[in-house]
Amino acid sequence: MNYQELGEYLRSMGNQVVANHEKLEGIPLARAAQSLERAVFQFGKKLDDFLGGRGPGIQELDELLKSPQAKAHLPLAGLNIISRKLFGETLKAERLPTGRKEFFARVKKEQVGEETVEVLKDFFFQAAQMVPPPEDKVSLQNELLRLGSLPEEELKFEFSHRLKSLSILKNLAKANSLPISRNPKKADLIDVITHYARRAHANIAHRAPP
Amino acid sequence: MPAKVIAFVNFKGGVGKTANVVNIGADLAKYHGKKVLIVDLDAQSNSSVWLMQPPEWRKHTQDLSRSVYQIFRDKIVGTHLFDFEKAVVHGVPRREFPLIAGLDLLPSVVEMVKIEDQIHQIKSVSAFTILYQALKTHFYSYHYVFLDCPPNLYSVSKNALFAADYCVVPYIPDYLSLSGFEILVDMVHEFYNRMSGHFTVRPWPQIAAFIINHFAKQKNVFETGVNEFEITINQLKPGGKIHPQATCLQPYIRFNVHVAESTNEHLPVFLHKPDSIGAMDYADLTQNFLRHFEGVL
Repeated sequence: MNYQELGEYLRSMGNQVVANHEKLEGIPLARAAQSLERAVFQFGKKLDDFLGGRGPGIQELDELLKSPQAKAHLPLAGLNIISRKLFGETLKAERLPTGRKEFFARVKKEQVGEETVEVLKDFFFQAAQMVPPPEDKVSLQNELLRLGSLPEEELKFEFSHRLKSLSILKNLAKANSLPISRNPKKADLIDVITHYARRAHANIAHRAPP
Repeated sequence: MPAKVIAFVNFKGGVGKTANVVNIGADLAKYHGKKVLIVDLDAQSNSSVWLMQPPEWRKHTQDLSRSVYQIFRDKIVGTHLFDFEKAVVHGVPRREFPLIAGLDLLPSVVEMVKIEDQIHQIKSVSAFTILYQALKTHFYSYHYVFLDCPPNLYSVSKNALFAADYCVVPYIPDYLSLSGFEILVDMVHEFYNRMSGHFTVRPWPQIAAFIINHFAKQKNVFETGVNEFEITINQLKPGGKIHPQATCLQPYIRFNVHVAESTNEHLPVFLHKPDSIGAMDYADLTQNFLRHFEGVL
């Protein structure tokens, strides 16, 4: 059954009840009617909430506050940023669960559900954005591959001339996500770079470096 | 405007194709107001049984004409039994009623294994345009159509490649995937070359994004694997075999037991465990997926 079929079924049953209400009687029917009444009221409330009965945007806000994005990017500090943006002040709550409740109640009271949803969506969009890679990343990746293709003597030459500074070596290692310690020694860096350069060249061997 | 049709393709199995299709599709529909159709093209029917409970799937596809199988079967035997409206399942997953109103599924069946043999009876390139011809009018009802391909590059996958505007390659950062990736790119490019005469009205599709799956932060082991993959991509771009803006979408999807568990619950991970790292990774990935496919490309 889908919601359209459910609606049509309820309408048809409703018509039947209205047309026959003066004849309907008995304990089994009364008990079934009581439980249906409870279920119908419960469903009616959920339906009303879903269709915006709590105010425009409130249902969507409720879902967004329970979403994985909120779990990932909306600690109390984030909620306070949004609160300041919307209401010019931070929340009184000192913990996230109470902060969420306070925030939700405030939005509902001030009837700014739709605006809050937009602000939150933008907040999550910005939060998901990754730090762009350094501009020279591609050239440093290609450099690793080129180093891997060099014979031993030429590689040693590169490390003793063009790549002799620690900062250049560190930069090359970082751009290629190589495992290095916080304060690596030059000899260790050269070992790591040599290993991963040789590996990259072997693994991507048949494509000539640009 | 027709949907952006995206084939999730990799001939290596277990790289996360179905997990990506199901979870990005569900996120787009739930949190971004997109109307999404998932077309399951794999005989293993993984996205079908992820989003449908097995009895529901069996009942629905008992009549094979209510599955993607019929699209191919009609072409092979010359019938016209496929009816999109009867085959499509609206608002999946469902618990009698829709759980995500904007997410639809065109399910697959095990009988799809037979299609690969039968399709060779069609001795022309029209064997690869079957899916596109059957679904192209329905593309206008959606923002996104995701084609979940089988783990091979045979005829059904080629149908997906032809129907697609873009390809996304799910990937695991190890050498076995890397070696297969270069072959995949060559085969996809070769196929598009062969079909080039058919891309007169719409642009030639290209591999436009990569999704890194099963990632773990362990002493840069996976980072170095991704780095080699990125170097390979850099090498391939100048030859025009992949889109010049093609990129590894971030964040990388970490291995998370709740994603695996969500298949048993027949739910996307955010409905199963919204506070899991799997749900959070997919939420951010979907944001960046949108940024890429609606902003960058």
